Amino acid sequence: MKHLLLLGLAYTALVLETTLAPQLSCAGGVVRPLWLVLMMVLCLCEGTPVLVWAALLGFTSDCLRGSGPLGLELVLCLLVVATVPGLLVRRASRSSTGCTLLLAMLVLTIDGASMLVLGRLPEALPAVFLNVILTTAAGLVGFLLLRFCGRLFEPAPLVS
Amino acid sequence: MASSPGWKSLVLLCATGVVLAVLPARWTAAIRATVFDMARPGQQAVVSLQDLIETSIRSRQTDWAVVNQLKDELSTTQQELRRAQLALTRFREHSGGPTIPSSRSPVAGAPLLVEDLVAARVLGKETLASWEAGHLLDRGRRHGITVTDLVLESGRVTLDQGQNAGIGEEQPVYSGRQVVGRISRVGLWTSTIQLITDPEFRGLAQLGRPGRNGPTFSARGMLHGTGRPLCQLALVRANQVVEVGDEVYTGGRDNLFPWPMLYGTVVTARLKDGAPHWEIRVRPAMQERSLKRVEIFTKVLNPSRLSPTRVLTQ
Repeated sequence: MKHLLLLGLAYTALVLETTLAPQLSCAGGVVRPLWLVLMMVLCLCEGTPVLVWAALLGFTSDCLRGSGPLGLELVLCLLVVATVPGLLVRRASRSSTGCTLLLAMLVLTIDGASMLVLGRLPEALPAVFLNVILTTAAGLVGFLLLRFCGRLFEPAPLVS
Repeated sequence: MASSPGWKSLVLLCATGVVLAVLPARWTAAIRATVFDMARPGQQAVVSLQDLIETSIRSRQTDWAVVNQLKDELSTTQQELRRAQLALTRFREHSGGPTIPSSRSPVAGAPLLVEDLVAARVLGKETLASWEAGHLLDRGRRHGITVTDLVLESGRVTLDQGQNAGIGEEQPVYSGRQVVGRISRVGLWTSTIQLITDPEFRGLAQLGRPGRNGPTFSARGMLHGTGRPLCQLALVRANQVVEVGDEVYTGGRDNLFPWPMLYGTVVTARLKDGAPHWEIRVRPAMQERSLKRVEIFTKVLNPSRLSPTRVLTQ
């Protein structure tokens, strides 16, 4: 069930990145919905599925990038999710700070490393930082919204 | 990583990435195109959603624009209505016409008689010919109409309103601001007009000189018909100034209207040596041939002077 949900989210992220890029961009930076989904993958899945989802999302990001080698971000995503500390992932699923840190790390490492490999890091560094800020902000808002909605559906505490 | 990674999977997937990275550009372009094609249904859905939202916003804005425009029109119309009501009230007060009483109690100081204009159509020659041939009377008898209910005077204009419309003899007949004549005979359903060109017509008149702010009235006299197209204005004293082009208006003291009605225009004005009065010829403003609808000036009891109790007492 969660994989179906993640599939729907991944497709939505793909559509958003290809259709609403102007609306998602601000001051040279852009919100990366694919990395938001990657964070959810880390929070929801364990083991090999995480790698598969990371490869899929990285591959999708590779396809969206008009130039460069096709498997670059795929490999970067795999390396990042394979090396991300488990403590950070566990905190990300519980606290907004953890969520923010995880997202920031994902965007910074993947986008930064990608630009580094492509040799465009010096000029793309501000955009990468803006990507980190915007995506982290979007993720934080989403996290808070989800938590708020989750509390709405919680059963009322028993009062003596 | 949160759980122990499958190193084999990681290596396999990384190898896949490396393979993808070394693919020829033609193949990678095809793969990218395939991914973009997969996204197309979602993109179309997003575009449709965007259009829907924009259309909704635009229609809402348009609706508000229409509502604001209609509000403006409504307020303008209400102002015009208020203005018209004020003008009507002023007109009724000025002419002593019937005013709508605010209550059923009689209004103190209101005039006993108030004026009313009864609209009438001029009966055409075909109708009159049919009438003279007896067709209308024959049909009328079957419906209870007697000969006296319908009047007909040869050579005079006949109207389709009679006693049943409150018309009586000698009542003035107008066509707009122009004097047509007066009622000569009245039947139940019809009546005839004595035009101002009729030799028996007499009417008080006054001369008016056209000006920017309306005519300036001067000499008074008596207009009478001659049986010809031109009327004669008599009894205008020799010491008055009369010019061709002066207009001739009604000059009665009855104050039927707050403004005088037009008889016609002076076409000739001659003053003989030693004569006490001018000899003035007037061309009537009304054209008999073009008469189709006229208004008959009637006087009725002022409704504001009547109350149910008084009527019962009477």
